Parts: sequence; C-alpha cells; structure tokens
Amino acid sequence: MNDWSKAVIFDRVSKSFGPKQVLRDVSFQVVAGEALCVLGRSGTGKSVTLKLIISLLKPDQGRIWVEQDEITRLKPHELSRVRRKMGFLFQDAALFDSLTLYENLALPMLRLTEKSREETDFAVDKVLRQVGLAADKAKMPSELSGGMRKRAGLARALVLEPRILLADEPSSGLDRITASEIDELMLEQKATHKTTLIIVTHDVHGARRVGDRVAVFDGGNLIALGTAAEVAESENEVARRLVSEQ
Amino acid sequence: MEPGLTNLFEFAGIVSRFGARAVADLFRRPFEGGQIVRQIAEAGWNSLPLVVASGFALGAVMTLHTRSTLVTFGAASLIPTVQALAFFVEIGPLVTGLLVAGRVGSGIGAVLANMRATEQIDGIESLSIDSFKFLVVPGILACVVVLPLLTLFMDFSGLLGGFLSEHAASRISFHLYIVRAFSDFGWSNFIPPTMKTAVFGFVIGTVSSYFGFTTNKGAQGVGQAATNSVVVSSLLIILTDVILIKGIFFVFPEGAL
Amino acid sequence: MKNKNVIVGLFVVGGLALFTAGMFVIGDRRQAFSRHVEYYAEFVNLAGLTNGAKVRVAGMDAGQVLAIRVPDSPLSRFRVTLKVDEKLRGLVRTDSVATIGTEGVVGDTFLSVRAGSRYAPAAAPLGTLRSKEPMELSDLLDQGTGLLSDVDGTIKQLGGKIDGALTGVTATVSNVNDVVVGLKDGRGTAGMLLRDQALAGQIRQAMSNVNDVTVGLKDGRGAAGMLLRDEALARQIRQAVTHAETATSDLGHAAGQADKLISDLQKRQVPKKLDETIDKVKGAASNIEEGTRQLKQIIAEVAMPDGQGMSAGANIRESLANANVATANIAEDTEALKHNFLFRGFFRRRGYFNITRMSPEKYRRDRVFSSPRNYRAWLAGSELFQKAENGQEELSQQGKGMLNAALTQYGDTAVESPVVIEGYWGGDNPADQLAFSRNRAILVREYLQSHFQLEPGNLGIVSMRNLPPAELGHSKWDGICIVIPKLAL
Repeated sequence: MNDWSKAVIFDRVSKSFGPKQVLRDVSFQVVAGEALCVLGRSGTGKSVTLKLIISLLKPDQGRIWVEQDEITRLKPHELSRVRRKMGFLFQDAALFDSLTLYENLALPMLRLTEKSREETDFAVDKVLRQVGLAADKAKMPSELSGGMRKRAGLARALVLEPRILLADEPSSGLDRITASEIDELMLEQKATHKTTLIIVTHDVHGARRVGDRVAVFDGGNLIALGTAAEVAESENEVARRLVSEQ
Repeated sequence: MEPGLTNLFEFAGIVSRFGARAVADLFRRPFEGGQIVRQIAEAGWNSLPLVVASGFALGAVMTLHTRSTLVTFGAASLIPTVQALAFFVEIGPLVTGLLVAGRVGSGIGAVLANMRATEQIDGIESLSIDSFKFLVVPGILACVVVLPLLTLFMDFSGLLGGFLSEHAASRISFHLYIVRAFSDFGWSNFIPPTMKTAVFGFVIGTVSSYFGFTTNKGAQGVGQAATNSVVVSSLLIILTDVILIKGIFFVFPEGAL
Repeated sequence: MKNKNVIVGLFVVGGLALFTAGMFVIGDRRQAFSRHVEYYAEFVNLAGLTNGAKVRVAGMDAGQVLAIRVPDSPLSRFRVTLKVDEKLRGLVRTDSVATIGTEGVVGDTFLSVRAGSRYAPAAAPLGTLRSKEPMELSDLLDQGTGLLSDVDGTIKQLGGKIDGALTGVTATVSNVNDVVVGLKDGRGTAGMLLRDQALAGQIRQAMSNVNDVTVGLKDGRGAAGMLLRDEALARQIRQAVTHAETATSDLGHAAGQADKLISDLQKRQVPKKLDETIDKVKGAASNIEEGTRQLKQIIAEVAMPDGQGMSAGANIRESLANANVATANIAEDTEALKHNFLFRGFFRRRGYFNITRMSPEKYRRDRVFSSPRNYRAWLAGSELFQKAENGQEELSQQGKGMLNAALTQYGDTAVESPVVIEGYWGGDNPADQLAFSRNRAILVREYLQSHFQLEPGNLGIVSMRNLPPAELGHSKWDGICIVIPKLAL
C-alpha cells in the first residue's frame, strides 16, 4: 500500500454528515506528478474528498495516505508537516478579508517556515508575478475581481511550493477565458515543478484539457476512474454522460 | 428532562467548554500578537465614539431627571454624587457591556460566520494555523481588555455630560462638581464595578465567537450568528451582572448601597 | 500595522489615564496617597460607625476608620483605630476629644476629632484619644426641646421678676428724688427725717431684690444666660447685669450715706454736706434708671414673640427640627452642660451624669473640678483619721471637728450645692492608693451626709490616689480635699 510513487491513496474511505453519507467506501490512488480531475454532480462528495486529503475533515472509516504518511493516524501537531506539502485553492479563494494580498501570502511563509522577511518578500513577489498580480499586492481582497481573487488564491496555495495542489472548483464563477487562464497557470505549475494536481471541477472542458485522468463521483460512490477517453467509454451511464457533456 | 431544557444545558456546556478552551489556548504558544492588536483596535478604538457619545448623552439626560427629584427634597448638592455613583457603579459598566455586545459582539459573530462560510477558516487550517487560536482567542482577549477601558470612557463622559447639564442649570464649578461627585466614593464603588466588565467582555467574546465560529449554514448563517451573538451575550451580561454584584457585595460589604 | 499599533496605544493609554484619574480622585477623598498617623479611641456605643467611615479633625476630612475591635465583655469598650492625615496631626492634642457624629438626619456616621487646646501636648501616634459617647438623635431632639421650653419659661419668669423689681427700684428712686428735692427745698426737718428712715428701708429692700436677680443671672443659676444660643445677646445681658449691679451698689452706697446723713443731720445739720450727698444720690438714681432701662429692654427682647408671633423657645425649637446640622452643635453644648454642675441635677434626674462614673484622670482634667477658683479645704489624713480596732481607718473626733469647720465655713451654700470629696493616700503602692483613697472619701461622705443631712446626690467622691489636679498648690496629698465648685456657689 505504501507506494512512493503515489501522492495520495484512499483506502475504503467513508464519511457522513449526520444522516447523510457523502462518501461510501471509496478507494483510489493518485500518482505523483499526475493531474486528476474529479467530476460529479453537486453534493456528491467531491469537495469532501479534497478536505479529507488535507485533513480538514476526518473520515469515519478507512485510511488515507499522503505520500508516505497515513494522515488518518497522525496527531494534530504532526499534521502540520504533511500539510506543508499541499496547497489548497478554495472555491472562493478564501483570502483573509482583514489582510492585504501581500499579507495573505506572507502569512503562511512567516508562520510555517523559518524564512526571513527578505526571503518572504522575494518568494511572495515571485509567485505574484507568476499569477500576474505583482502590482496589486497592497490591495485588500475585497478590492479584487473574481478572477484576480482566484489567481490570488492560487498564488497563496503555491507560495510554499507544494508538491500537491488541491483545487476546489477553480473555474467556478469565472468566464471561460479567465477559467482557462487559471487552468494554464496550474498546468504550468505541474510542468515546471512536477506538482501533483487534484482538481474538483464542473468544467468538463477544462477537465479534459488539464486532467491526465478523470474520476467521477455519484451519490458518494466513485463510479469511474481513468483517462477522459476511457471514462467516456465507461459502462456507467452517469459517468459517460458527465464526461461527454457539452 | 424537557428537550428544551436539555438543549439549554447542552448549549451552556458547549459554550463553557468553548470559553475554557480559549482561556487554555491563551497561554499556549504562539501568541497572536498582531491579531490581538488588530482586534483591540477594532473592538476598542472603533467603539470609542459610540461609547463616549452614549455616555455623554446618558449623563446629561440622567442629571436632568435626578435634578428635578433631588431639588424637590432640597438635596441639589447630591446631584453630582448620585450621578457619579450611578455611572461608576452600574450604568457605565452595564451600558458599555450592552453597547459592546451590540457593536463588537455582532461584528465578531458576523465576521467569523462569514469566514466560515467563505472557507477562510478552512483556509487558515489548511495552512496549519490553529484557527481557534488565530481568530477566536484574540477576539475574546480583546473584549476582555477593551471593556474595562471603554467603561472608564463611558463613566467619565457620563460624568462630563452630567456636569455640563448641571452647570447649565446651577452654574456649579467643575471643581466642586468633582469634589461632590466623589465625596462618598470608596474603592469598592470604582474598582470592582470597572473590573467586572472584563467578565462581560469574556462573555461577549466567547458567545459571539461561538456563534460565528460554529455556524455551518453558509451566507444565511452570517446574519443568524450576528443576531444570536447580540441577543445571547446581552442576556448573559445582565445575568452575569446580577451574580457579579452579589459577589462584589460579598467581598466588599460596604459597597452595598 | 504600525498605524494599528498607534491606535491601540492611544486607546489603552487613554483608558489607563482615566483609570489613574479615578484612582487619584477617589484616593484623594480617601487620603490614600498621603501619609497618615494612627490613633485609637474607645466607645461604649458605636452608633453605627463602620470600618472605612470618615474621620474629621476639626471638621475637615482627615482620614478613615481602619479597624474596630469588638469588646469581649460589657466591661471594656469598642476600640476604634483611626488614621489621620499627617497634615492635620498638629490639631490632635492630648485633650482632643473623639465623638461619633452623623451627617444630616439620614447621612453617614463619621468620627469627629475636636482640635485640642494650644497648650496641650500633641497626641502621640498610636495613642488613645479621649472620647465622648455619641447620643442618639432622637434623645437629642427630646432633650433639646425640653431644655428649651425650660429656658423659655425661665426667661419669662425672670422677665416678670426683674420687671417687678425694677419698677420697684424706679419708684423708689423717684421717691428718693422727691425726698431729696424736698430736702433741698428745705421742708420740715422732723417730718422729713421720719420719712427718710422709712425710705431708706425701702431702698434697701428694693436693692436686695435687684441684687438677687442680677447675681442669679450672673452666676447662671437661672440658666438663662448659659443657654442663650446667641452669644451676642448673652453678652449684652451680662453687660447689662453688670451695669445694674454697679448702679445698685451705687445706690446701696448712696442709701448708706443717706442713712449716715440722716443721723448726721440729727446731730449736726450741715446743709452743705447735705447738698453734696443729695447730688450724689441723684446721680446714682439716674444711673440705675439707665441700667434698668437696658436690662428691661433686653429681657423684653429675649422673651418677646418674634415677627411671626412665636416665642423665643418655640422659635429655637422649630429651627432645631429643621436644621439637623445643629444637632451636632447641641450635642456638644449639652455635653458641656453635663459637665456643668449647675445642670447636674437636671441631667442626673434623666440619668445622664454621675460623678461616680468619672475616672480620676478625667476628673483631674475637668475644667470645672480643677478650676483654681473652686473653694477647697485641704485636710491632712493624719489629723482626720485614726486606726480603728479592726485595723481599718476611721474618722477621728478631731477630724469630725475639722470637717464641720470646713463645711460651715461656707454657710448655707454648702448645704444646697454639690460637694466633691477627693480622697488621697500618700503611700507608694498603686493598689493601696486606689483602695485607701477611695475608702477615705467614702468615710467622709458618710459622715457629712449623716451629720449635715445633705442630699446624697449632691455628694460626689473621687479617689485620686495621691495626685491632686495640677496647679492647685499641692503636687501630692495625703488625706482629703473638700471641693465646692465655684459655679455652684
């Protein structure tokens, strides 16, 4: 089970919120360096999957590995080390309202690394340039447009140079052009840093373009996993329909 | 047991544990200095105009009322004393508590609920920052620190309002007003009532943070958390006040007027 | 971030400044930040005094009551620890008296320390101040009202009496005038002489009337002078009385001269002498008329109803009910009166004052008893007493004789006025001093009481060990001293 080539492993994971079961006995593996796009209808446990990976949620049953660590058995203070390997791009970017863009990015640097002010400034500038927001670093999140916020969120997810990037609906609420800009940024990151991408999305178009493989969730079950072409040929009708949409 | 009663006790238990956790976390590293400063500025400095203006107006109005009564009894010289005692002992602390519950409590509730709804709290957690320590503890601490200070501002602006109102009526000098105001004052009329507002602050901070931090209803939860914060913390402040006053009288029997 | 820090700094510093201001204002009222001296005072009745109550020295806020130690039996008293601002320390003397007062009718109780006299040494820190038991407000009002109606009555009575007497005097004086004029006119000598003798008797009679009243007034026996709240008025009366006295003594003198003159006339008939004397008499008469007029006017003023038709007593009574501040003053006045033997009977009937409850220390310092003007008879113990068969002391025959002599020396006054018997014992042992000096005083009291049939209440005894009150010419004494306070005579 403990495979060095695997970035994330889910082993028979189940999760419920009260009476509602959102994940049912789910198992899959994500290979290091690949891009996995998770598709599915709303409320089928996609976002929960991401939060389980970064341990914001704990599974009711089953085990989860991130690289060589079984995070379901780690103590809270050990989690920090594993989380540092991951960056999380939230659906609405989740920038901290009360901090400027620069402070938003500097906060994880100052908190989780031993880096000096100068090193932090340098890293923040670099990642902001990467997402095209270098000029906006003194702005508050409320002053940014939706696309800019998404890019800022991406920048924050990337500022610690994670080995795994988790993205929750990176293209939601954006026009296609802006959405594809975000996709490009993620692909670039994958190409240059060999970052594993796990992307939850509704955007089949983007998923086909970005994802090496596609996973399809329905009703808490993983109903299909494979390349887009494979899933499009899958026996499961829901999966077939989801992937071939549009 | 009645389900309503069970819920009430459950709520009391959860909020108490929430507060206890905040107290315990306060003494654990890392100390969120920046956050604390930010929250004190927000809760204290930004509440100052409200508190000073209310205190001033309340002081002026109260003198108008006490004046007519006391003059009837020929006790006009007691007006400053009554004013100061009323403000320092009860009106100042309680009104400041309620005002801060309205302004700061709702703010904390709404801000935390919004952060929860927009996944900012998850975002903080995903960065391995203890969101409770980062968001809740500084808020509660700020309320605890800020409330006694705001109470002092309220007390003195009330006294000033009272003075101006009385000065307009009787041309009393400021010095005489102050001398009379504090003529019957003991430490127990000043320090315990001022310090008890730190407890009000803790109640406001804890209750508001609890509602904001634990909401999970998305955007709709924001308004609900704000309302609940104000209602429950106001109610608890008054209840706490009753208990605290009893406690103060027990410790300082001469404070019982 | 820097900006936030400045704001928070401003806010916190502002708040702390207010806190400090509050601390100082209250601390100033409580004198928390000044240096203090501590004293003690003891009371039987605390009248509601509590820890932290204000302490006033000569009416100024000076500190607070620090502690109250509750007595463990009725024999001892509440021991109150008070602190006094060092600035006021100079006013607290060994003869300062601590009392418990009330601010207004419903106000706080506080401890009031009266400023001591100039010549008494400063009270030592941690020393026990003299104290005076508080009076309940209701008692005071009752007492004050009773006292005032008494005064009211006395003043009226006195007014009538003096009025009568003075009319008599005036009539007499005009008679004298008539006679004198008659004399001058050279009417029949024999008839004139006859008339004159009757007249001289009349004058004497009238004069002794006036004398009685005025002396009474002066000594305060009638109580009017002593109780008049208005100092100016009291002074006026005293002055007028002195006037009247001079006038009457002039008149007496004149009458004596007239007497002499008449016998002289009978012998020698010297017209020139007569003329002189008559002029003198006339002068005296007009003198007394002036004094009488003044006196009458003052008495009338005192007794006269005021503009609203209220008598003086009713007036004062009402103001008493209104001005509750005055109660404190009255308390002090009545306190002073209690020490005044004049009112001893008055108060004693009400159970307020009893000389036997007075400690020797208090007695020694009491202005009434230690006054050098008192009549004192120092009788040596060796002559007064002898050893009885049972080893105890008893009065010797010689001693009884000495006592009789001492008391009769003052005539009737000794019978109706209070007499204090001070007992002394010359030995060194303090216990003996206490026991034997007391025993001696008791022996003398028993004798005087039975021998002269004196009122028991008028005889007070004090055991003085061996120390008489200061400045009376005896630093030590062994025996008895019989004291008749001057005021009582």
